[in-house]
Amino acid sequence: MTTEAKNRELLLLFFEPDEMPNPAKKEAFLKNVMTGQITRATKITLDRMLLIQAKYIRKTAWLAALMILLAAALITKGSPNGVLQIAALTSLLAFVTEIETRRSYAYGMAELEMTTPFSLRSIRYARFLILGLLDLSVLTGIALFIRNYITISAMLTLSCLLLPFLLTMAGALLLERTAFGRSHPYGSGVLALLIAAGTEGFLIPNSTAAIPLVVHGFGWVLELAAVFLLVTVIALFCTNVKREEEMTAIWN
Amino acid sequence: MSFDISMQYDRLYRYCYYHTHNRILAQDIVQEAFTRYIERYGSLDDKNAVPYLYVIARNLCIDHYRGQGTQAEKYLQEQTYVEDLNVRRSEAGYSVVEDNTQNTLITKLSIQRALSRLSEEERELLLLISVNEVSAREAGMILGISRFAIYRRLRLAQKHFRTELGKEGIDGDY
Amino acid sequence: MELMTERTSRHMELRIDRVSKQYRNKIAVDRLSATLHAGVTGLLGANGAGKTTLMRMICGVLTPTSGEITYNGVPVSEERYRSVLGYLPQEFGCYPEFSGRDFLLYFAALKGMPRNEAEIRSEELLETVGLADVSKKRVRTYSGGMKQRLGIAQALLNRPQMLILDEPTSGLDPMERVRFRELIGELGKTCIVLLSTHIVSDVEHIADHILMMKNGQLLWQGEWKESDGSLEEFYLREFRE
Repeated sequence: MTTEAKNRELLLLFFEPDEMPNPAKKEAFLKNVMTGQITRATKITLDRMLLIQAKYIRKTAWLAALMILLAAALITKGSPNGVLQIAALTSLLAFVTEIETRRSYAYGMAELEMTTPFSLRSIRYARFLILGLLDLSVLTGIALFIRNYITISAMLTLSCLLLPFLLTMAGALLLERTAFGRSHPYGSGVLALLIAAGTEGFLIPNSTAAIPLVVHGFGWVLELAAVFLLVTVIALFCTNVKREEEMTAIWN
Repeated sequence: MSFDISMQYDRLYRYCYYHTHNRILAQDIVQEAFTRYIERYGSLDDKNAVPYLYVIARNLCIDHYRGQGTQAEKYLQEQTYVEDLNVRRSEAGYSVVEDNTQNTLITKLSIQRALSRLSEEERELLLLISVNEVSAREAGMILGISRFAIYRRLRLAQKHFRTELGKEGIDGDY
Repeated sequence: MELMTERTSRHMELRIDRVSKQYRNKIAVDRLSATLHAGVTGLLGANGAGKTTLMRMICGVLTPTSGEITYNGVPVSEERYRSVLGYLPQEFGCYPEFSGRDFLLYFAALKGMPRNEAEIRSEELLETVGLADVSKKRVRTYSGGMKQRLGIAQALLNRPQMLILDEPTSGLDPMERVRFRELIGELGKTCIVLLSTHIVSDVEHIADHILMMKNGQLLWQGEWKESDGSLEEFYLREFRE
């Protein structure tokens, strides 16, 4: 035995407690701590999740979000209808995440992704949400600083452009984070479609601006495009559901 | 690599028991120290977790006796009934240890007497570093002195301990 | 020797309760029950015994047809469960443009780790698994052994309390195997490690606990100490029946 070990043994003759800790009390406490550590470390609220994901967004993505906002502003020139037409489409951007998910599956990362606390989808929705919030803050900022009627109303109208988008992304994120949502990815897709259809079918006909026939016609084209997208997306989702079955073929 | 919570719990308990000589109190203080640390810092996987836990526990022990000093000193002066270490352990459900000490006259009482002639700081150093395997850096944080002072004082403490053991008739190549 | 902490710590408990996975024409896992605590558990069985299916269920990749898996009472489906889980599948891929470091950061984001912590931790882990000098190179240039090591680093990112490793030593050269065994032995002290293999010698010296599977069923489970003799012989004997 080494000198240190002998020394320790001697010291332990005195320092070792006369009474050992109550084992049951100890185990219960430690179990609590361990589970608590889990809960504490991962009671990740929405705001915390967004803050964490924000740091992962690439600089080019931030720039792109602002550019898109600028483009949309120029195209619609602040007219309510134009804005709402585009707005309806933006909520369908939720399906962009589908492209990313497919790519990740193609490159064999899907299995690992299924074991992480957050799914790839939820990360994407979170990041889209943040970018949308950035755009919203830019608009609000401009409205606050350039305080004349025209600018403010233009900014407000443009903000409407973002609403379906923000709603979709927030809704999709919240849904995706539930156990049900994660195992039923159609959920967020359905939500996106509902919001798009809602904007299309409800908000536009009720907008206070006069609706010229051209816009009506344009509306039908959009309707068709939405149906086409719906069909494509359902097909994509079906192939994703088959993922699990395909995985099992590999288990042997 | 990771924080061995069970082991640190036992070590902290040993430390708190030395200061309180009360099983319930010691265990409560240990658990309170963990709880407070986690509430403030969240994860235990930090290299400062161990020293901070000791600091919290220590303060709790001192608070409890409200400036009277902890039980440690008092207990050292008492003539305690010497129980065989193994009897204590087996009663609590822990396995017995092999008696590796060559000199069968070594009793808890003689160690106690030797230690009672050391300063409180020397005892703390021996308990923290030699027994509980706290590092010098961590001990420095707990006692509020520099790492170099720790090395020096520990060496002196060990030397002093050996001398006092000699007076108790415990010789040997320690 | 630590005098007081001698009992098996039970504050980390992975409970597998009568779990089955059934497909149209095959039962991959048949009413399997086991409870794992901190330490290394070896999961032995031939190819096709159901080891990977079981591991996938533990990790939430597959849902059991019946039965339940919980960690300290928390079911697999919860975010919290996955946040203390680390998984290394038998095979995994990577985007072609990813470097080793990119790969780790990508998964750190998925594990919800704050970015600066993720960067520090990635550096640490790349160092530990010996990939620090190739961290900026593309993963597709890595050898099989290097990729495996990257996979282990990924599994350790979030300091998991449960580490599930599916055939982690396949593709490693002898020296890497030894290094790996040491790493696992170390991790077993504070973590539940479940490691599957069909090579008995891999686990013989590091596993405290053994589970043996055949045709989806748990054939045998128990503690295994050095003094119990050759695990290999025991294993072959059990399987002959």
